[in-house]
Amino acid sequence: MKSRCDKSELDDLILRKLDGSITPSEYESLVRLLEQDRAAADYYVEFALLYAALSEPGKIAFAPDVETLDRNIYNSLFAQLAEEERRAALSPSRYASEKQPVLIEGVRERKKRIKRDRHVSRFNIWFTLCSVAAMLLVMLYVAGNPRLVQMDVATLTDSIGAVWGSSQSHPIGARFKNNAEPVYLASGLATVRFDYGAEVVLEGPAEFTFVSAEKITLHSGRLFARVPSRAVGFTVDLPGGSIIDLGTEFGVVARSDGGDVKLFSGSATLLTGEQGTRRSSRLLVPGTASRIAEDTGQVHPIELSSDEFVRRIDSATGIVWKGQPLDLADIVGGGNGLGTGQRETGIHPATGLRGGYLSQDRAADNQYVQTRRERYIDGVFVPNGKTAQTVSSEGHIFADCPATSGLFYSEIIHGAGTFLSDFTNGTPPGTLENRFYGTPENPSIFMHASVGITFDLDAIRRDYPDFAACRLTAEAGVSTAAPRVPNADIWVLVDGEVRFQKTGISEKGTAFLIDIDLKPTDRFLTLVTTDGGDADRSVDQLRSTDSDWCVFVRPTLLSDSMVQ
Amino acid sequence: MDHKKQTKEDRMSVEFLRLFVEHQKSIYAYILAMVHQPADAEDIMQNVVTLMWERFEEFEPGTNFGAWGVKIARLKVLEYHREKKRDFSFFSDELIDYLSQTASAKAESMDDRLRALQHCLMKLDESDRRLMQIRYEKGLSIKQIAGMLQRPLPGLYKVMGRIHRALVRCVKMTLNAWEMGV
Repeated sequence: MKSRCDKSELDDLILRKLDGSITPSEYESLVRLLEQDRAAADYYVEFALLYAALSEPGKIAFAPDVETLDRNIYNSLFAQLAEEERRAALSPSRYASEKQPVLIEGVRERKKRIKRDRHVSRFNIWFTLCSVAAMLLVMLYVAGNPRLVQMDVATLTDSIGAVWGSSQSHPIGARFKNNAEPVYLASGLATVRFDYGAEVVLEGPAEFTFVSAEKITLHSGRLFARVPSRAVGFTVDLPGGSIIDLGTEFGVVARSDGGDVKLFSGSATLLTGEQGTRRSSRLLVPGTASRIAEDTGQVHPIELSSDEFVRRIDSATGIVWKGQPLDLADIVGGGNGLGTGQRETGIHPATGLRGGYLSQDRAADNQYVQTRRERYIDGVFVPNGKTAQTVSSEGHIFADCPATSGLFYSEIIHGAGTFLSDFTNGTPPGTLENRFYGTPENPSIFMHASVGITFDLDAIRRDYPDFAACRLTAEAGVSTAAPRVPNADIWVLVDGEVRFQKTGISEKGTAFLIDIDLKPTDRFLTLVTTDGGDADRSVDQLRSTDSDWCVFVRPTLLSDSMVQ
Repeated sequence: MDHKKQTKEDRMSVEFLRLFVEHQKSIYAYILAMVHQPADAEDIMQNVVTLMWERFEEFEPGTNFGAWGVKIARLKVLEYHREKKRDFSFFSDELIDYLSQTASAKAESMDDRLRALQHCLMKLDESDRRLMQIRYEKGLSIKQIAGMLQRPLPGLYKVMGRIHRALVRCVKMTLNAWEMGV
């Protein structure tokens, strides 16, 4: 049966679908073609199988003799790629800036590449079989080491403050060989990507040896491994045991007398006992940690906290992520969500500029202002539903936005708003349920009505891929310290749609729980406070926004795995 | 520790890994064909390998491990379709069944496909083969290659589409010829 549709168009759509660059409308076209034409559906299947076969690292030789590949061409391509990634990450303005499409694409491509795990592999079938055989030999108690040819097996993709052993120098992009001398990371952090797809973050001091493109021996120190399912079989040897991965994330601490292993997700097998001797195996359970004794090979459960290992680093942003939740208040303070922001600073809701804050009635139109210098904040606004209220740089509209006086009283503040002039009765503005917020332990965003702020979830995900699917948790209300009876509304929107609302709040100090699921396709998260619609009172010169001291406390993003 | 039990577990680990390494590509190919995004395929693959290991005792030695894996993958793919249906326009149930049957049947002969593909790659023009090498062996995306070669992206997708179509056709013909003993 022959397909009736345009072949070139079909090729284009299938290729884009398989490499993940297809747009929603293109995807709909592809679905339509496949639904209408069974020959096209057959062709689609053939194409997908071909694509998967081509993507198999080391299984296909693209030149008559893969060993003749030009190393210089390879290195120059890799250097170019690394440079592109570095430039993208170093970009001083926000990733989403329309002025830098090339850099944005660099970052997107980097993410996509990590996601689909397109491995840079120079190995042929022989080597694949050899490494698989090596793994099996170890498990079959055969003594001795596999004889492997020395070749590049992994790349240093990033490092922060890395100090290497004497006479060792490893700039970013450096390649590591197997069967070489142990590498010593005296201090600092380093990310290494193996050619077969596994990525590890090493914490100094650490000493390790690369065994193959899917195996490392950790003599001492700490390591966190992220192994996509296509790199299944990745192995970490440590004193007294080996961890063989089945597609997972795990952390390892190696010491001279043994080591600890914690499985964060997926599944992995732990082999204990020295190589070449009888070894026992056990399947690790996600969320659990085990200690291995080198001399006896015995294993017993231990407690290891979830932030024990550095899981991701980025030298361009200085991010060192240990699996913590992200704090939106910290982001409002110009931080990276991990506590680097400056408390008691604010963002002007009508200009988007960062700085201190005032306590003074000010009027503004409801224009959405993009905050181009902010990494994770898309924009701010003074909400007023008298005309359509835009809440994102993509033009999402807050359709239910109430009409307001168009006034705001203070900036959007990371902290408690402690320096507001109204703070006279001894109770700090950031107080709910008699608890004081705006501290490092209990952060808050103070948002005196009427203001709005939109976070760019895609920008956050670019730096923190683990937050593709995540959850917003927070509490919100009107501060106990408000001087008079408030009348305020609190809203949370996702891509312009209301996901939380509490309107007409007239009680002070009551905290309302916010818990919102965010899908990977959700782009913009918006927090809004409005003035409740009450009129200005000319008699005592009180405005509609009077006492609307709204505060979001502990506004936190939790990744999907944290929720689970 | 129960020595006999341990030895049995060891044998199972070795056997599972051996079979999985041999057949993972056909399972992955099936999943990739059935889902919306490559990242989804990775997630499902991880769930499938875990489930396969958990249910490995149910696998009957001597039967087709790849087909067994695809059968388990099919359950996960259907689960994925049920979950994702509300998120975006998706395949109809009828198309899912059709693609699923076709892909699972074809994925079983993945080894032959790899051999045929190897044969067909060598028949490509040198420039086309180099392009495929940069794309797949070096792992650069089509967009990155377009940037590197300073060629318009839509044009490069057309070129890559043409090369893939030629390979699909060649693999199909080669498999047919082998089946007929030519």
